[in-house]
Amino acid sequence: MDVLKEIIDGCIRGEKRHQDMLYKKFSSLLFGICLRYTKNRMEAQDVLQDVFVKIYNNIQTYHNDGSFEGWLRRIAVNTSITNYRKNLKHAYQEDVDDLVKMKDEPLVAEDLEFTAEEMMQCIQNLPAGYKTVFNLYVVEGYMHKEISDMLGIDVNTSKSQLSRAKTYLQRELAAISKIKSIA
Amino acid sequence: MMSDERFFAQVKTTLSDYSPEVPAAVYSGMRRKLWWAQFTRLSATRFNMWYLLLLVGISGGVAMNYFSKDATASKSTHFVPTVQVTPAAQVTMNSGSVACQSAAASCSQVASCCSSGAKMSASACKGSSSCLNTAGMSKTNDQAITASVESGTQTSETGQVAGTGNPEGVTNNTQENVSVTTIAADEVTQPEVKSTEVPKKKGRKMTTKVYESDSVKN
Repeated sequence: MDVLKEIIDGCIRGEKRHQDMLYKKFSSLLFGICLRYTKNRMEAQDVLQDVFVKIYNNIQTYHNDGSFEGWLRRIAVNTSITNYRKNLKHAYQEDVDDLVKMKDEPLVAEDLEFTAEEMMQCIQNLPAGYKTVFNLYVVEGYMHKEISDMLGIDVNTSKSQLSRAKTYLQRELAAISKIKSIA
Repeated sequence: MMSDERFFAQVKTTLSDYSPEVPAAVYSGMRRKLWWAQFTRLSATRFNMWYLLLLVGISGGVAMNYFSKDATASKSTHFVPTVQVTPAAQVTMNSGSVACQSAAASCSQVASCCSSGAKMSASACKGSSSCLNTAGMSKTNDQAITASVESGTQTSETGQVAGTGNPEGVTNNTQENVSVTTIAADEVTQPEVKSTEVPKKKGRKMTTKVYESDSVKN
């Protein structure tokens, strides 16, 4: 804890050594968050760079009144949402129905077995809007009202996108589990 | 099918601690972005873009000032004033003339008009350097007033008789090389600017402004 405090103080003073220590300590965790909200690794790397720039420029606003890791996560999520909004007007918005090819197959009733990489691969295949809503609701724990405010969408849109994303992911993960069990 | 809550909990557990390896190139890119962000940020404590802009602006201003002075100095050596006015001149206003007004489109016409001795308005004769050199224009009528110009300084006021104190427009011929011209009464108070084309070396023409009063001094 004292080490973290020292790192934070060093970053507030703008010392490169402490900035590097902060980067080494949290870059992997924040890269994982960025990957969940972006389409590929390249885009995630870009967002991660922006995240650290924001952290270094605004670290003096952290007042030790909560978890530092939570503060970093929030910056990463907010930066990812900003990136999503920025790309929104340029990106072609595909529907999740275009991706679902196994509509007629029944959903599996048992627990699914999947690794983090498999899960991440499935999430990255989701359309940007569905992916963002799913991440905010399931992983970050936001409510539909908060998500609708953050993304500027209707509450019902948020709910329907979550439902569709969940269905798509369950089907995809079930297919992966099935392949693994056969192998 | 597994319940939504269980599925969400499983996803959250799997992803919350997901920490993939970060490529090394990200760090250098981040450093570059950080440098640029701090460079463009307005800050009094560190050198940034705003200091640089200020520095460039000041040095640019100083350089412009220096070179403009230099250019003015070099220009002044190339020009030869063509308007030569005698040290003392009798300026006579002739407000009643209309004969040359319409015909004074060019300097040559004005010059010929003046040299012919016809009455001429001040505005028509204003741009003509030839008229300044035309001597013997002392014809005045009853409305004429006289202004005396000595050593290039005009001392007369509009509508008033200055220098000679002669309301009849009698010329003062006691000084040497007296030149007489007709100009408007409302233009007597300011030194007149003559715009003339001066041939430069190798046949190039340039325009310069010569103050009559300066020429008178010369």
